[in-house]
Amino acid sequence: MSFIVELSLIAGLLAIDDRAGWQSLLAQPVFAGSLVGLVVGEFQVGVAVGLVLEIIWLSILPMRGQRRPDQVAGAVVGAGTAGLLLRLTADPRILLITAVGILVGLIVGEVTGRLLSPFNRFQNVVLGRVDLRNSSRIASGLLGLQLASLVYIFLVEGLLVFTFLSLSLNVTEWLTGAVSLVGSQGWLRLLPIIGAASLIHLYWQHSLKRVLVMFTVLTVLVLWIT
Amino acid sequence: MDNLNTLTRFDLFRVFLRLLFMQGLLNRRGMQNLALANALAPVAGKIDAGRVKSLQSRHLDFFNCNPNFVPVIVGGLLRLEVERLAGKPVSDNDIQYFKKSLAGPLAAAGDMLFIGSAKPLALTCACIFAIYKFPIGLLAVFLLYNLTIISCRLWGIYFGYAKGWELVDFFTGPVFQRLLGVVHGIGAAVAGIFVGVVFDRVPQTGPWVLVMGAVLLGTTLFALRRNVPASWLAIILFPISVLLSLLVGRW
Repeated sequence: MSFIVELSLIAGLLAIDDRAGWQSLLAQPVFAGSLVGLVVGEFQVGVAVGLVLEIIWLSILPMRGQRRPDQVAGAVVGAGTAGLLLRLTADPRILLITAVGILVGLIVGEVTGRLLSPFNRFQNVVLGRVDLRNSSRIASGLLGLQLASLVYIFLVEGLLVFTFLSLSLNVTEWLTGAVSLVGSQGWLRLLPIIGAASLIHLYWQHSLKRVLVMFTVLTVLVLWIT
Repeated sequence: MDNLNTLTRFDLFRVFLRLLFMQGLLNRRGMQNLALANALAPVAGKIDAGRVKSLQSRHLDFFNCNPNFVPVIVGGLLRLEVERLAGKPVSDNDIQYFKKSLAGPLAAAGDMLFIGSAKPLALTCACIFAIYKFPIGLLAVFLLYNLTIISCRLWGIYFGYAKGWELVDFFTGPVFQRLLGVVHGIGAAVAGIFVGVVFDRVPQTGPWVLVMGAVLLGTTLFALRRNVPASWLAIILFPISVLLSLLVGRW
C-alpha cells in the first residue's frame, strides 16, 4: 500500500512537470519508468517498460488538437505494476511480467487520457472565467490561481494513478496466470517495430527521408559488420 | 540607453522564474494571458509608476505562443514598456501589435523546433541508450535537454529585452530557418540510427518474427497514415500474439 501511495505522489509531481512546467522529459515514459523502477527496486524492469511505452508513443507529439494518451499514468502504472509484482511475488517469469506491465501501461495511458479530458475542461472553464481586470489585488490573485492549478493537476493525476495501480495489481495477478510466456515474448519482440514505423512516419518528409534512409542503412551495415 | 537600467538582470530573472510554470494557467478564453500577467508581477512596481491602469491588467488580453519562446516576447515587451517610461512615443497599441506580430510566428516556429524536433531527438537518443542498457546516457540526455531548454528560456528574456523591436527582424531572418533545418536533419539522422538498431535486432529472433515484423511494419505505416494511433495497434497485437503462439506453438 505504501508503494502505491508513493507512486501516486510521484505521478502527481510528474503531471505538474508535464502539464504546467517546462516539460523536463521526466514525465516521458522512458524516464518516468526508470524513476518508478528505482523507487520500487526493479530498475531494469522499470526501464524496459518505460522504453517500450516511449517507443510506441514517440510519434504522438503534444501539438495543438492532437489527443494524447496520459503518458505519466501509463508509465507509472505500467512500470509500477511490473515492478511491484516482481518485488511482492518474486515471480521468476520476468519477461512475462514485463510484457503484462507494458500492456497495462498502454491501456491505462489510453483510458486515463480520455478520463482526464473533463477534468482539463473544468480547469479551462474555471480559469477562463476569471476576470481580474478591475481587481485591486491582481498579483496575489494570479499567484493563488497558479498554485491552485498546480495542486489540482497533482491531485487529479495522483488519484487516477492510485485507483488504476490498485486495480491493475489485482488484474495482472490473474493475467500472468492466464497468458502464456511464448505469446507475450513474441509480442515484446514485435513492439519495437511499431516504434520504428512511428519514427519513419514522423520523418517521412521530402528532404528528411533521404537522411533517415541513409542513416538506417549505415547503422544496419555497421551493426552487421561489428 | 540609460533607461534600460530601470529593470536589472535580477528583475528579469524573477520574471523568468515565474514563466517556468506558466502552462498551469492555460485557459481556452485567453490562453496564456493569465500566465503572462502573473509573470510580470515582479517588475510591475517599477513600471507602473504614475499610470492609471496597472502593467498586469494591460496584459490580460488573449496571448498564445510556444512556452519556450514566451520569455523572448516578454523581454521585448518589457523593453517597450521601459522605453515608454523613459518618454519615448510607445502606445498601448504598439505593444499589443508587437505581441501579436511575434506570438503567431514564434508559436509555429517553437512548435516545430522544440516539440517537432528537439524533443523527439532527445527521446530517440534516450531510447537508444535504454536499448543498450546505458543509464549514464539516459541521464546525460536528460541533463543536456534541460540545460538547452532552460538556457534558451533564460537567454530569451535577456535577448528580448536587449533587442525590443529588432526581434521581429531576427526571427524572420534566414538564421533561424537554417537552425530549424539543422535540428530537423539531426533528428532524422538519429531516428535512422534507431530504426537501424531495431531492424538489426529483428532477424536475430527467428524467421517467424521476421515475417510478422515485415507485415507489422507495413500495417503500422498504413494505419498511421490514416491517423490510427500506434498504441491501439500495440494493444490489438497482444491477443493476436497470444493466439498465434497457441496455434504455431513457438515464435
